[in-house]
Amino acid sequence: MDIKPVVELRKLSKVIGSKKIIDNLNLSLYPGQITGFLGPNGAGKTTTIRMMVGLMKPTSGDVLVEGVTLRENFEEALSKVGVIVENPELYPYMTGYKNLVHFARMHKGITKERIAAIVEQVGMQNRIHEKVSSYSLGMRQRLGLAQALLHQPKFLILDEPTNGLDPAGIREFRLYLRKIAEEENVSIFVSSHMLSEIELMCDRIAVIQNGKLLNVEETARSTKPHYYIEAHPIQKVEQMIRAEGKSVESLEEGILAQLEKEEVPMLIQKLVEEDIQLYTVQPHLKTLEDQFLELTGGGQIAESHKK
Amino acid sequence: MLNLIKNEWMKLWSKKGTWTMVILLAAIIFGFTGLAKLTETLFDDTEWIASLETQIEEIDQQLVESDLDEREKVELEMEQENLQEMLEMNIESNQPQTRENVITETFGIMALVTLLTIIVASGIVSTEFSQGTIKMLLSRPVNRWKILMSKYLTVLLFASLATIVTYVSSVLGAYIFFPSETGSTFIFYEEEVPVSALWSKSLYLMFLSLINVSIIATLAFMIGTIFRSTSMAIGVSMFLYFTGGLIVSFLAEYSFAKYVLFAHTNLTDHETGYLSLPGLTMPFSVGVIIAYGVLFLALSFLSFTKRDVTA
Repeated sequence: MDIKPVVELRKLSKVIGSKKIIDNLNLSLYPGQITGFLGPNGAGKTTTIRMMVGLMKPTSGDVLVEGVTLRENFEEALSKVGVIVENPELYPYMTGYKNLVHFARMHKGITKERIAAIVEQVGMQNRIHEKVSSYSLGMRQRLGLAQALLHQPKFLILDEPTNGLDPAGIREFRLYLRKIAEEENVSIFVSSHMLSEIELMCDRIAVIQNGKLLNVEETARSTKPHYYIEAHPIQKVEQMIRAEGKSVESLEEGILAQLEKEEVPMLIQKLVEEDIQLYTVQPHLKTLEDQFLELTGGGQIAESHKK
Repeated sequence: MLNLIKNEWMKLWSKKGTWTMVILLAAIIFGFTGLAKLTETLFDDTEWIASLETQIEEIDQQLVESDLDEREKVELEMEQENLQEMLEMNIESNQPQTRENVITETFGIMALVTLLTIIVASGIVSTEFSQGTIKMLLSRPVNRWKILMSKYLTVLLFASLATIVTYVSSVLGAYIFFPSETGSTFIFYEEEVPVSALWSKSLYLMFLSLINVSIIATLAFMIGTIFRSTSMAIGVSMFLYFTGGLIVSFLAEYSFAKYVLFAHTNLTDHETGYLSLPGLTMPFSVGVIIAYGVLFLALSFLSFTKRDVTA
């Protein structure tokens, strides 16, 4: 790919005590792309994210934002990053607006107009002058998003962003992220264990287990198509498809064959000619859940690093 | 840095507790001055003194009429002695307080400011951890040492403000409730001070007290930063603040006692003459305080900038 990555993790490792929490992680994140970060509990998602935003120091390796390392020039590197780590923890005794003013002062050149604009963007203009302690979780999430976007970051890190949002809120949130990724060319990195959520939201998925990056792949949409076939006698169908050098997987009542779309009519014609009773042929999308479980092998929680 | 201090100041004053503390501080100090005046007028002791004097005379007469045995004589003499002591104390305490006395002795109530500042200094870092806001605060393009520095300066700013509030309410109370000194001097710890030196003397004493407050606050700030626990920082620093003098007096016979911080946490002692250890000088005390202050801050900064945030 010719596009330069916004963020690069280079050989990132973190050792706590004698345990390697994160082991030699390499990952590049590109503008305009939403990358999901998946892993079973305790795999090292939060640790990785904390190292990316300077809350934890890597034992070795580097985090680069537009070529600038966090280690050497923390202020410059982080000035392009917007963050929500876990739940957005805001100051409950201040109003939403004061919270935004507070965080705006920690960045350079954020005007009152910008604050007003972002408040409107997240739809909080009616309640912004109330204390955060009176907000619902969903409203806090919105305010959290507002503070992360205040300084128009090129890179947005979200840790479990849809926690506490209702289905409508989640949908809105998803569309909003898509919009800023596409329109403002922001690179977004979302950690979650809500697989279906990630599947709908992301272009790419990075899977981590026991501190190691297992796989980075495009989401199901672009993987090889499978078709589900139910017929009688099914063994004969299976033999026929195998004979053509395609992979087949038997399920309870039917089979799952890896076929290209163009091959499907031919196959049906053949099956009919062979006098096979055909009940169903339908495209089968392998869900992310299947992929995830395949990759992590059901995923047991990694051994705790605390003694 | 100015923006960061503004932030800390805004957070501090967004809490109701801070307002309550400062308003209470002003009210208590003003109230105490009023109360002192009230007791002075309510318990006018001139009659009481007169009656003490007559009682003593009566005992004198009884002693002369010598049909008493030895035991009764001794008892009467003891009673007379007691009465005599009470009389002397009463005459002394019955000297009317003047405006000048009240104003110069304001530093005596700075313990209140110390308590409030300990509370603020203990919580300013650790509540960010307990509320989880530290993650939002540190994932910003601002180096950690700047954030800690802004918090420390905010504590000092609060201590200064509380000192000013104390001084102003005390001066107000003194002007409202107490008459001005009629002579050209007034007494401050057995020392005659010219009335013209009132402001410089009282402000200097307040300034010394502010240094005392600051070093205790630095201690509380350090404990709060290193252990990330507000209650622990408040507990430990209050305990040391109240028992520090005692600890020093226990250690007084050892030569290292003069290097203990709490031998120096009342710089006003150099003005009043009641030193915790004999032979201390002002430059030495200031030197010890600065050394401890630098140590406390160094430990705070080291801990805050190096450690991972896992809260």
